[in-house]
Amino acid sequence: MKNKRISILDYGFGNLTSLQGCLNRLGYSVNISDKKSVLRKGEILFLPGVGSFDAGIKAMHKLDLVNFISDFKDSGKTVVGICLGMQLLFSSSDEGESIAGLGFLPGKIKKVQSIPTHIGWNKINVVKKRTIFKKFHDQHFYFNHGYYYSGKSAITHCAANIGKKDIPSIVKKSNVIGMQFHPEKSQRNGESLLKTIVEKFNHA
Amino acid sequence: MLKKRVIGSIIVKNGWAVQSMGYKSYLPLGRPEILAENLDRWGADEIIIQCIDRTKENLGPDFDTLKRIASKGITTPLIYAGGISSCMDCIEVIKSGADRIAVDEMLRTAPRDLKKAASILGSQAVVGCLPIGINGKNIMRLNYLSGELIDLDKAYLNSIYQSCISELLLIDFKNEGRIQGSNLKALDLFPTDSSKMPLLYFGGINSHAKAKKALNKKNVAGIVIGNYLSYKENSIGNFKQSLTNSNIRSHIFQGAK
Repeated sequence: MKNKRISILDYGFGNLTSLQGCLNRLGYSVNISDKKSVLRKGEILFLPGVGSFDAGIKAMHKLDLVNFISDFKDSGKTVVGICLGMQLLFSSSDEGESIAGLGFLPGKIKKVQSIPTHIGWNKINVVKKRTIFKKFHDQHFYFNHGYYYSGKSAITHCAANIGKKDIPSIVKKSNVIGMQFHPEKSQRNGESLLKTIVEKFNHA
Repeated sequence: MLKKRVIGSIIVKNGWAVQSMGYKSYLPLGRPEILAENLDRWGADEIIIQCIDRTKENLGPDFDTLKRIASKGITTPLIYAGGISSCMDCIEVIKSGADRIAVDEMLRTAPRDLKKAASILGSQAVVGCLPIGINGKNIMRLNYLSGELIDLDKAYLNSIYQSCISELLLIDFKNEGRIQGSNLKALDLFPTDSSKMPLLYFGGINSHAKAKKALNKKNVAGIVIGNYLSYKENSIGNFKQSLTNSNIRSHIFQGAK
């Protein structure tokens, strides 16, 4: 498990320390950067959370990283999006101006309607028959978002209930994974999930 | 279902964690990062760091304290409050290790800047603070800088509700840290529907009965507890176990890292 190198994209805002600390504790080597030359050294690329959709995608364009991330994914390496990072993996969002997302996953990000924002600890439920996330069924994770992915169930591995609605909480398509919650802020469950992802989805 | 939160509060003055009594008198507790580590280990649902001298003394956010806390590898979500007055402050606080910011003065003095910060960070990262007191059937709000108590009129409350915050932290400043504790009456004077504005409540929750009562209010998304958690090992765990509310996350002791 040791010596795996992970890259975390620095958009210029967002709390990167927590994710870095978590991955370091698990024994992985972590690079935080906005430079392609540094990011490409990673076997897995994390797109972290905190922020709005337009701010995130605009920052990626400004840093000229959109094509790089796409090439990273096409090379077979794993791309993992957390919260905002997950939303950026999709084609578009209702949040802010209508700027296209990375488009790695089909679908649109919409505003949560049943509650003002989805903030706090919620259980995730496994909805896919065959999934590596099975052991996290019924476990609590920390959510902090006002928008969500509402689309194809084929890529949804886990969901979370917000009143009358279930929303996707973990999505996966090939080597692209998105988590709507913050594993790095979900205490032991979060660390365990991050370890599972790094160990099982390392395609390098 | 989304669970209600038991949030640990660390009040920081001049870089040191203190026990506060009504935000007027203080006793030293120690290093804030050690208290944060404890709350993290004990499985708090969130931690709020309130650096109470920063705005009054125009010192800006306490980045040193925040960075020291973040460097401990806290895996519990962190809210930071104190000295935030600009969009840049908001972003730097998040970059320094907080997951969310809490603002009071900025709601009034720089709403445009706050809106700009929310457009970058997302409004879910912004918590509004409202120090309040009860005068008969009326809610008064405290002007934190002048110490003046003012009627909380509907127009002001609406302006907060329509701002870019995701939750409103009510601070019962008179009962905070006091033996008599909170009377929770204020909660009934706010809209009972949490879909309008989820409330966090801080100030004088010093018994399981009060915590239960507050958590059972529909408009309450979480309770914030300070002094009551400071003097016992695994206090969050013991507190949660005694609550036995199904609307909170069951306690899991995180242990040492």
